[in-house]
Amino acid sequence: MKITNRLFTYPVLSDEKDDYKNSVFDVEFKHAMQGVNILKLSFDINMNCKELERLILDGKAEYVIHLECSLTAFRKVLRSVSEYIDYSIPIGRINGSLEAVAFIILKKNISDFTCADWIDDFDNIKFHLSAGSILAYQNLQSLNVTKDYEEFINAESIISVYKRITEDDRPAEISLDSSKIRIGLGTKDYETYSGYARKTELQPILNAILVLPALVYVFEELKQTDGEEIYHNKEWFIALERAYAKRGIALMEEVRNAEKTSFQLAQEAMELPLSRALNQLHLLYDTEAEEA
Amino acid sequence: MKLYIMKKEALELLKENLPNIYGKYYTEKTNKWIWDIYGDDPFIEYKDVTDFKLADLDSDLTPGEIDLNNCKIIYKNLMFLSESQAVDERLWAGLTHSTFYEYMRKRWRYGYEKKPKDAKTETGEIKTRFFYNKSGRSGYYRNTLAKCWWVGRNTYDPSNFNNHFEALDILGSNDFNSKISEIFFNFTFSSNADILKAIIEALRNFKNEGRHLLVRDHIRPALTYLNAVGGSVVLDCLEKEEITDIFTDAIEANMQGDTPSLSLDRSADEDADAEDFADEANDNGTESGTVEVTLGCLIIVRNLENNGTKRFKYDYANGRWLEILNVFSHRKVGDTIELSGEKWIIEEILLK
Repeated sequence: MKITNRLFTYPVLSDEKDDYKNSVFDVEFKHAMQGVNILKLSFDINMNCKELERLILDGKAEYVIHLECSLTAFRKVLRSVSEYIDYSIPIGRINGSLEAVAFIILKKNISDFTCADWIDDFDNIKFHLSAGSILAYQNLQSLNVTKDYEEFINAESIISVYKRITEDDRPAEISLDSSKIRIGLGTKDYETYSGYARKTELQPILNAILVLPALVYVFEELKQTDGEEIYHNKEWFIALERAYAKRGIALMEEVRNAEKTSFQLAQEAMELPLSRALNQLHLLYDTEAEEA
Repeated sequence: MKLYIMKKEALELLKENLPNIYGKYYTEKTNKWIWDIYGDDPFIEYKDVTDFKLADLDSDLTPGEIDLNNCKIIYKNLMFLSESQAVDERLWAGLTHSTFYEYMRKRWRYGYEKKPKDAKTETGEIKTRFFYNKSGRSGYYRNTLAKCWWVGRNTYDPSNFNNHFEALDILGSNDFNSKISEIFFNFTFSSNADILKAIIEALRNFKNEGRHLLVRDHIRPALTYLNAVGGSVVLDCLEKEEITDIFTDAIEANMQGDTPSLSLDRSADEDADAEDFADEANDNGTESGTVEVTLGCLIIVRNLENNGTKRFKYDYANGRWLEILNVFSHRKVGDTIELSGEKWIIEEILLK
């Protein structure tokens, strides 16, 4: 959505209009990849109209960021009283042009609205405005999300699960010494796992149970002083490094970022694994109900 | 069951040569002919998924019921796809020409009783059904399988444990493709889950009341009207109930042969919530018979039967003039007018 050629019957603060004399509504829009799967957007708002500020602080209006990627049916509004708004989108959720418009939107009906900074044409005029009315807007630069990498690759392809010959229940093991990150399950666990591994709808749950903790361990290992030196020749490391590079990120810079825990890095690498797993839990319930 | 995507080169080759090869869809029971034409494996294996079957084509289901069932089946089984993956033509061209090739032929009667028409028509139909005839939304909302995934995705509610596809059931199979086209393709505001829920809620109410809606006569005009409302306010910022009311009112108005008003209707109670911005009292109120309606004024009318009030802005909205406002032309405070078959009195005319 973009605001173009729109006529308003009341003054609106915008760099495209001249209804206000000196007031400014200017939003700095920044974006950066966070891990390989999350796009982080941030909006820094500069607004200096006292009357509009009063409306916001009184809870009668709010800052709104309208995001839309029409190709992937993504449409979202972010609301805030703060002048700083950030938001993270899984990169798989968008493709192509992501349009962003910043607004100040009225939350409640108001009567007799006036502003000392309006141009002289509006002298001695007051407005009754309805909730939802646009008080200020700025069309922000569209973000063009181009994916020059293959999206149809299994995320699990750098990880393999193998069977350990055990008689008793034994804890799982992880090995980083092969071409893949290998997760070893005891015989009984593996047989249970292999019974469900082909069920597509259970993949997010299995990924959260097995892959997420394995990746946490991987990032812990890489955070060690000699982590890169030990693993940089492994195929899984190269694949991971390549996946990050395609999104313009240096893997080891991310790993060494002291502000990011291994738990955070692992989640960023997997695109919200916990949310995806939790979203699938109801399928287990549905299945049981059907079987009953 | 394995899912394959079609190689880009194979996809382009097939599409470009459809005027010459469309007959293969009629004559070839398997997809082996694609190997012959492409000269190599045209597919890339993407994923191994749990087996599933699409809606039975030998049953008594109508085409709308088949599509509606397939929306549920396809989305439920392929919900792991990201939206970004699901816009990719290679995926759906891969599925229509591999795993579901025979199903597609049967669905569209290629090799069954259907007889080929001219090359242009056949090319267009195959492009639309098996590939994307146009890129982007237009493509995936018409491809036989992609369309089902997207409608399933748009209507699936993970928090509704009684029926994840309740919204789809409310939409119903009748005139299904017209509904898809209007609700999901023509108006992008339905991409906002809350707006879509509000529309579905309105449709549910009509359905519960046993009132049958037609896409052309009721749903399409109401969506157009909602879009016009979005010209004066940001729809996404309205409460769900407000959107339901606006959409419902628009359908009601259409049923009564009226054009809905563009004002956001507020009841008398809701108006009481309006908060004065300035301390001083509004001094623009008018007495009976003294001021005539003029461009830009705000008109407050009261229903003579139930005392409900409405406000109308007598002005252009988003550059458009709405015919409903003509009823106020040259009127004064105290005049009685008729709206939606009911009598209203003009209580106030507020000027700028």
